[in-house]
Amino acid sequence: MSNQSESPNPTSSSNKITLKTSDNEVFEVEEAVAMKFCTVKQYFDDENNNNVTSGTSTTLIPLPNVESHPLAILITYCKKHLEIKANNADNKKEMEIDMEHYEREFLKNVMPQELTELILAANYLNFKEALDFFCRAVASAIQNKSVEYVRKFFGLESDFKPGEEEKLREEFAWSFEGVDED
Amino acid sequence: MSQTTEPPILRRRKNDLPDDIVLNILTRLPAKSLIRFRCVCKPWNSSITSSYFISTHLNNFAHDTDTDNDNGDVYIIHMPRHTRAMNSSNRPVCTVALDRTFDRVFEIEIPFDLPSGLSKIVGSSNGLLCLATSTNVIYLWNPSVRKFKRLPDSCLGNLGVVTLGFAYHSENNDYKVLRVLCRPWIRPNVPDDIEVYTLSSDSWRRVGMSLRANVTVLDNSFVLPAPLVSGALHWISRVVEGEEECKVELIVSFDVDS
Repeated sequence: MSNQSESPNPTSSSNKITLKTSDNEVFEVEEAVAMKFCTVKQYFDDENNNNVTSGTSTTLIPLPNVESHPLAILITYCKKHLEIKANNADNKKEMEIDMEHYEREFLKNVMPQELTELILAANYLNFKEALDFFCRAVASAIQNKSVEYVRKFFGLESDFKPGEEEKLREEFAWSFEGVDED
Repeated sequence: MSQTTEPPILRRRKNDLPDDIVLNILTRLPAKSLIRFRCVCKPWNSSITSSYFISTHLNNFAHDTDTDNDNGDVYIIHMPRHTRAMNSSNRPVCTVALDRTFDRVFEIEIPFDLPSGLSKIVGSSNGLLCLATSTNVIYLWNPSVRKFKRLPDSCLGNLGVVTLGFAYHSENNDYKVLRVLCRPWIRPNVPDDIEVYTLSSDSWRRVGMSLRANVTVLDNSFVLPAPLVSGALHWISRVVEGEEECKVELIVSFDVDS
């Protein structure tokens, strides 16, 4: 769990890593950013172990399960995340406040449906902080929604036998009070 | 005006979220939403009601202290001593806080009967409240899912002064109620009987005290429940020593993990 392999000061490592998305876009990112994506880090480490020469500045990592649109957003989020962390290295509370503020602003520009795409990308890249954040964001977007809205959101259909759903609705009628309009 | 924006719902079709992520999202929802979403489909209904989900929910939800979330923690802060505090449907109410900051405080209806309208707060943990009536009937109550449970009668009876305590045993994901029974006028200078209720087994068991004899609850400490400090419930007792019956007060603790 130690961060020894990461440079304590992200700006000092000028190593760039190139990521190639499924729609063939190429992103050049700083090593510190790429290393937050555990899938990339794993690939990178494996490559380094296989190559005796350590000249890694030309590494190109293919990401066949990630499109450019979510990746661009994830990179922005990750950069900001690292920046906030670096700015508040000795004050956890301040860091959390800054992060919360940034995340609130971030969500203003994201549609709830877009979150699904971001979650899938963060999940594939194994970028835990982002995945947690997006899951929280979805939870907060659906918490006051109707059952029908949630089915549509997750692409699910009811598989209850006739009467079963009505029974649940009747038993827990209070939980259907004060639900937002779809 | 061009209509280039593709309906997001249609684009999402190919992007169904894997089950573990859906569960991750669900564990961050307040109880009321979860109860409602049991109606989404059968797999959701069985996931949401599984004990694994409930304990994961407890962990995740406690960490999401985001103010947008309706936090599941409930702290009971006031229990009227008499039936005067009634709501419009003539039911007794108590006052609860929804979080540690006491920013949101409101009254909720007590769903079970209180003989003579008296009851005392034993404790609260993870949104679960423990109350006792004046006739020593103990209830566990989860207001966020609107369910309550009357505990079985204890094996030691009610003759005496009862001190109660309530605690969450995180290691076993279990809840315990401690009951100390002191019978000073029936059996003077006889140590108190102690019993512990465990929710997972839904039963009481007697607990021996690893102390010298003659430890009895201090006469008037019964009005307050035993507080939980560092994983142990504490109460004040006294020891009666020697020919002169010299009384020494001491704090007794019960380790919840035991």
